[in-house]
Amino acid sequence: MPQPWDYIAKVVNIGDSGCGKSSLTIRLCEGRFNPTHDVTIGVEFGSRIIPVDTSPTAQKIKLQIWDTAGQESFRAITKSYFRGATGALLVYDISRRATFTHATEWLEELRGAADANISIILVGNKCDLGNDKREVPIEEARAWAEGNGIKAFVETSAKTGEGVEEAFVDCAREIYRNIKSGVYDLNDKSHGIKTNTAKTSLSMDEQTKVRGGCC
Amino acid sequence: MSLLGILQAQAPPKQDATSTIQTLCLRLSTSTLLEDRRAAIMGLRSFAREYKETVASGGLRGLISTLSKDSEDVDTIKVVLETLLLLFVKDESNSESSEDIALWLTDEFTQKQENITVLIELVQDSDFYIRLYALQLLVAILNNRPSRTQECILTAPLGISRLVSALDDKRDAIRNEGILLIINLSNGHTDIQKLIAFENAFERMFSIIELEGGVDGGIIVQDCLQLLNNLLSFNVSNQSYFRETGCVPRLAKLFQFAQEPVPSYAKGQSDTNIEYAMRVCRLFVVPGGLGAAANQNAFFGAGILHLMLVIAFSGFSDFPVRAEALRTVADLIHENSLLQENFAQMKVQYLDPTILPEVQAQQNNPDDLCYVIEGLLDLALLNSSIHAFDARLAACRCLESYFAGNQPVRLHFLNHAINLHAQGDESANVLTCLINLDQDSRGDPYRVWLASVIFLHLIYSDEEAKNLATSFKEGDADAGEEVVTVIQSISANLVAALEHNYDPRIIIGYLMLLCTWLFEDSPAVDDFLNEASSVQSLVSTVKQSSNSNVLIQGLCAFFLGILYEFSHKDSPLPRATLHPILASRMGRDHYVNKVTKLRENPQVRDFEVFRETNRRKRKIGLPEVYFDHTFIDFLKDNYSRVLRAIDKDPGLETHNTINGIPHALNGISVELVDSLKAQLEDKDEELQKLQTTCLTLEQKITQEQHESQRTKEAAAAEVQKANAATEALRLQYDVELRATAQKARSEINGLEGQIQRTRWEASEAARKAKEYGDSEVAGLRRRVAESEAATEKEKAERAGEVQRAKAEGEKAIEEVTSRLHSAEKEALFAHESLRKSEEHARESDQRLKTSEEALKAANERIASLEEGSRRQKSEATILQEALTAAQSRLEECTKQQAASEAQIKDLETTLRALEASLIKEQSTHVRILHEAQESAAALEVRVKELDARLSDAEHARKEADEAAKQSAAELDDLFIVLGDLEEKREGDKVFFPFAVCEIYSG
Ligand SMILES: Nc1nc2c(ncn2[C@@H]2O[C@H](COP(=O)(O)OP(=O)(O)OP(=O)(O)O)[C@@H](O)[C@H]2O)c(=O)[nH]1
Ligand SMILES: [Mg+2]
Repeated sequence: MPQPWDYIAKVVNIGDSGCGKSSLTIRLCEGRFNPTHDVTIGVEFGSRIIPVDTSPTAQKIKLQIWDTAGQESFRAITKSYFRGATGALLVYDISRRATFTHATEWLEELRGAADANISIILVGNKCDLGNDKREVPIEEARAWAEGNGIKAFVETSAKTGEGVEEAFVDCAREIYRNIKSGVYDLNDKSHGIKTNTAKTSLSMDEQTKVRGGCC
Repeated sequence: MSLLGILQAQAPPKQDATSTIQTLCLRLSTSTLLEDRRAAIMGLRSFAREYKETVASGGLRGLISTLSKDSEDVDTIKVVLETLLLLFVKDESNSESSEDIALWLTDEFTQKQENITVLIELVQDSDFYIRLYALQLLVAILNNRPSRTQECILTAPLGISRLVSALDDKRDAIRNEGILLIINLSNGHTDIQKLIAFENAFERMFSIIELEGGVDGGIIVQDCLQLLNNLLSFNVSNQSYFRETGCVPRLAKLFQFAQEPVPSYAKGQSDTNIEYAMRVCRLFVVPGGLGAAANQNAFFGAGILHLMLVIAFSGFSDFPVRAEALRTVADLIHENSLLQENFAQMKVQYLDPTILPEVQAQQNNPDDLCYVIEGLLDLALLNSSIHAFDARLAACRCLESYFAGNQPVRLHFLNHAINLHAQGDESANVLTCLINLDQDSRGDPYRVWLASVIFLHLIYSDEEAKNLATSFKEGDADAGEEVVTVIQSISANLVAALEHNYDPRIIIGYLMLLCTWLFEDSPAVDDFLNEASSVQSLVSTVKQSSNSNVLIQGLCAFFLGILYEFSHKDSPLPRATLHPILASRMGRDHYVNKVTKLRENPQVRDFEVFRETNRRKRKIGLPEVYFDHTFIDFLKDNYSRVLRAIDKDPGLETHNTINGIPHALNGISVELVDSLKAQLEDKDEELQKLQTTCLTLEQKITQEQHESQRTKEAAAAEVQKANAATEALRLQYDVELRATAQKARSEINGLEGQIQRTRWEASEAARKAKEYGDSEVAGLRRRVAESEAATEKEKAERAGEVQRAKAEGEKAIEEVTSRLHSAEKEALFAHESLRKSEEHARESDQRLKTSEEALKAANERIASLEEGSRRQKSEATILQEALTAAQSRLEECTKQQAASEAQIKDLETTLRALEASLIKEQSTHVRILHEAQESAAALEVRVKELDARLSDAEHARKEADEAAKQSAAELDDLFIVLGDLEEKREGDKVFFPFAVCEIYSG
């Protein structure tokens, strides 16, 4: 049975407790929002297939999203999931400055455990809260991301859905670019990247068929 | 049709598996019927192999919760466990499989204590598969998160004892899985090891081993021995429990197997089992370990030492087994004087070292015995088989352990070797092997190497043994033979080996021995320096540049450093002569370079690491073993001293005490004699004083020692008490914490329930109120509308009537007026009918009256209608008021709702406060724990202080001793000088009697 994707990529969500990691995952995978804070125990995971561009024949990446717990007490456990991650959403809450300050520590921990080529996106969540609640200016966050070698930054709201797709799509695209430019050794199982061999060969069949029809 | 069947029937053949799985997961979590759930689980199982990720992400929680929810239904539980196990299996070819899934599964169990508890309970189940699968799951979980799982199992009620009870299962598969589980469980966790031991694990292991047929029992016996190994390794408490519960004899029984050929297919496993069992023995007698001596005695009592020797010297044992047996023997007697003496009396099977083991097994003569020491020497020195190397090394270690800490044994052994060598005895002899470097020993370089190492252990740091060895001389001077010492023979061999490039092991063996022997031994150094050419040979080896062996060059340089360090001005090659040979001819920098290179060589620097790996990787050819561990320690300890020796001035001598006194001087003045005499007296006095000081110091030390012992004991007791208190506190706090947490949790739950309820009630009330208000308002509105419509209608009606009445009236008036007109006309026209007219007029008047009456009535009617309309209006006002009231009521309801919401907020604050107090409780607990640990640490610091004081005192005593010794020596010197002087004066007296008289009278 062929699968509807070309690659699987492992992505981890990290950041302080309560900044909305699970909410972002639920928004992306299930399209809903839960206003209560169900603290994540250890780790959860969900997945979503994302086409890398808008054309109907676009290649598809299945993001396997590992939503980790932000609470300090789970640090030892969650760290073991960083290994082999291809992408990461580093999440903070724009209405709580401390969650942004801690991003430095999260980044350090991630870089210590994950692959060197990991695609990291800085995500400022809860942008629906409005300017009177905001404690982290956009410019400051963007500057911080640049200063720390993080290529992408986006503000999101898991509540309204604003920016959520964008964050994950950005992440998927960067991973795809990396795949195409040969950054990953796809035969190395320790990478969080896998190719759908069945699909690849199938799509080649299809291509030849189409071409045959043209001629 | 089952649910799955239905699903499959519905699904088009290539239906997306993902959505099928999602449907199944949904069914699993929502179905109320057991049959439906079971069908869903069966479906999930069929997908679990190929779609691990999808099944795990959607179904894991549901599957796990089934374990407790449907625990009565054996079939369902079995399928659930099977599915979970499938999810754990790593499958490289499957893109949906990743280590993360297995890890996540593990965390799902280990992060939720109740899930582990459920699994442990399932291990109690009587169903074969449930029991087996539950055990396998626990093994998988333990492998993924060992320490976390250990904690969970430790926390689960009766966790350990339930798991250990799986070992009693009569069904092999379960029992064996149980053993694997306990092996994993016990790894590196001392407390768990103790608990397992208290569950009678030793007894259980031995029963299984015996049931399986002892060391011939296959791999399961190996597992049992591995488990024993885990439980006993560095666990003194379990070791003494083992010893005290009579397990040592049962361990000994494992080694009582017949010495006869084992079929080759079984040999590998049975040898492995034997080696595992020996390793278990060695855990008890790790040199320097706590309780090692007690264990040595117990093992000796159980006959294990004897059994080891039987195996070590059996023609049926292969070399690896023999080697392990000998290593065990070495540990069993190490530094235990009682056993060392017993050991020497033991006899073993004689094996001819020169014939092949296979042949030997056939020729075995059980009555052909020899002393164990002879057997060990035969093996170490004469068995040149390449396969025998480990066993030879182990034999060498046995001898080392035999000597360790026992000088009488060393001297006895040395004397015996010297005597036999002098007698030209043929048996294996260390001394002979060192002195006779013949064709045979060149072919087996380890012969000299092992002989050197054994000899090194005989004389290492033992002055008396060194003296004994140094004093032995060969050759009969009377018969015209050259008389040579052992050192001279060895140096000659060394020089020959260097010049002819013999195997480096030979050279290194000799050099290791010479370095340790000559260190701090000037007479031995002098003995060596008698032959100046030996020094030349060493120097030219160090200077060689082509094809040079770093180890040999470095060792030669190091040895030259020792020679110089312990030479003196009266050495056969005096210090002053030796220095330029080293510093200029060889070159100081060259020397430093070579010695440094030696120290940095991996063979030296990483010796300890090498020793472990060497045993495993064996290529063809000789093993890469060059050094003995004692020598390496010696080299590392004295490296910097020897390195710096070359920079020391030749005039500065290190050691002169042994060679003694400077010679008598000529031309001594009498004044000098007197002053010497006076000095002598002073010294005497001083000596006296020092001796008393020494005595008091000694007393003080003893006192101090007593006191410190007492304090130490007290401190130890206190530490123990503190530890116990800490433990108790910890436990108590744990319990309290747990209880508080429980309470807080339940309170929170309660509060949450309450909140939920209140919230619901409030919203219900609000909803009802609103409903009520709405309907009332609607009613009122309707009524208002109705009445307004009525009013309108009536108004319209009324207006019509008035109009009509008015019109009627007007019409009537008009009529009347016209009639009046015509009447007047008639009156004017007709006189005659005046009466008629008057009559008419009267008639008309009458009619007018009625008309006016009618008008009046009409007017009255209008008034009454107007009144009605007014009344209707007031009624509308009343309705309006009712409407307002209803609206205000509605407002009130809204307010009430707000109040309920405020109440909810309050409750939430309480909840937060409770959570905060929980956190505070936790931190207090941590603080108390920390304080207790600090107090323990403080106590330990005090103990250390006392130790330091003790060593200070001892140091003082040593100094005093030293001073005393020195003055004694000086005193001796003075006596001799005095004697000489007196002698001289006696002679002088003859020639200069006057002068003497003068001196005496003056
Ligand atoms: N207003 C607003 N609230 C949000 C948003 N995202 C999340 N929240 C709320 O923030 C709280 C925490 O969200 P979670 O997604 O559970 O946080 P988390 O990062 O997963 O927390 P941990 O699992 O403890 O690490 C919840 O009450 C969410 O409803 C957002 O975009 N806007
Ligand atoms: Mg979460």
